[in-house]
Amino acid sequence: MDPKVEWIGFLAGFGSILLTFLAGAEIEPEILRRYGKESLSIGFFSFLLPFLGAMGYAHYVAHWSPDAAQICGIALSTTSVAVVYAVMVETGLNHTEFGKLLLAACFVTDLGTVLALGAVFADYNLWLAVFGGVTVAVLAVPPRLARWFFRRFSGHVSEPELKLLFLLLFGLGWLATKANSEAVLPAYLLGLVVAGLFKEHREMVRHLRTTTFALLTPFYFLKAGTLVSLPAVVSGFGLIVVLLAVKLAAKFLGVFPLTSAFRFAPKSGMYTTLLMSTGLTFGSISALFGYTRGLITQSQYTVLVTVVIASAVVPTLIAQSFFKPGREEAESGWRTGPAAANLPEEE
Amino acid sequence: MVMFKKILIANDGSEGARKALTAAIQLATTCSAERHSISVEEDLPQYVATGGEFEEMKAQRNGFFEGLNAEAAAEAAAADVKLSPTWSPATKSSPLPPFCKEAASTCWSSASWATAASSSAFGAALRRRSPAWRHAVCWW
Repeated sequence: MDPKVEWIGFLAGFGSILLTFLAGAEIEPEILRRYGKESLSIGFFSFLLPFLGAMGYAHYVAHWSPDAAQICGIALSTTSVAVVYAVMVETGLNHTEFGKLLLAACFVTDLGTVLALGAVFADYNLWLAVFGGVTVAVLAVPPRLARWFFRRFSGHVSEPELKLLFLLLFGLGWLATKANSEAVLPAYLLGLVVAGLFKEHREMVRHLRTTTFALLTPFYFLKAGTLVSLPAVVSGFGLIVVLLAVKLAAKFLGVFPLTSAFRFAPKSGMYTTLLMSTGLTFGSISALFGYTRGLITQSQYTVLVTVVIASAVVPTLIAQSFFKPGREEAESGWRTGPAAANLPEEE
Repeated sequence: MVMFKKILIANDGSEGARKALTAAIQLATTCSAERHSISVEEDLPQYVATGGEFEEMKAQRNGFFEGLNAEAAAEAAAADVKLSPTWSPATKSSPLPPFCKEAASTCWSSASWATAASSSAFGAALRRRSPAWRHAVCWW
């Protein structure tokens, strides 16, 4: 398979946009509101320090170009909400207050990643202003418009609701491309906006997932995988290890002190830090964005994708082996302090 | 007649577990013991692209085990035996039902086991949860 063939590129790109949209639509707005202070601060620093750390190392030590270093920073700043969620379901932590706060913080981190991806390489011209204006307008309208549209047309076999979503995603994506920004940015934001509505239309979401995972994401992952060069993995092995260490260290500096400030028990804080060090989907999307735009070489792309995959596995294994708090420990570990005392009760 | 108070069947839907279920139902017809079956959900993916992808796969596994338990209850009912099936989700922190804990401590010491699923992945999952779990049926 030649990943540079145009139709494969189109399907892969559409797959990555829908993946991003679905990731955004998984947030529970109520959880984000409830844990606003904690999730915003942990999520923001979980993005910022790895972004700066990985970018700085890539540029000043590995001597990557400024653009390549920025892609490196963005790709390694991510947290994989999906991996964190899967781990927490296995341990039962997804039902705890602690787990919900952690997921909310992961969403904030990923928002930082897509904002950086959309803003860092954009041309600051009229097209960007148009893109920004239309995006704000579109994001303000959909909840009301989509609610009416979904109610009016749901149940049709031709799925007009999905067509409306595709229209919005393609339209905003086209504007983003004209502004040299990235289509995943409006996709994630649109997902966040319609997240509440999606909870009411589970069958439609299932159909969208089926379309995405059966048809589109295989092309995305095939494209992302076939661009990885095995010789580059071997020759860049040292850099892969160092960049993984840089990501883990930066996540530690960004997240662990805040967990202490919010009165997490040390074990829960370390567990949170390690889970927030995981990365997968957005990291690979960022690396592929950099390669297809010619911002990084195939060797650099290979290094980044390998670090991203390793960052999904290594922190998870360490966290599960040495720092996994029990459910009661997780709850009591962060609810005993004065910060927790101000939290409202779960509904 | 041999009298047992409780019979527990571990059921993962495998060939061995089905044989164990049939054997346990036959055993149950000879006494008035409490009959339980337990199924433990496992092998859910950990590295997924979105949380929704994980949710879909979990729902699929849940459906499989619900169907399995309904089949087991129906097979027992056909033999005029009442069976209480339970399935445990793949959460290591979720507590095992009391009868499983009792079985783990009692059957291990009395060695009253049938060999049916000792080599299956299910057996491995049970051993992870409690080293006493080795086979598909125990009674005490």
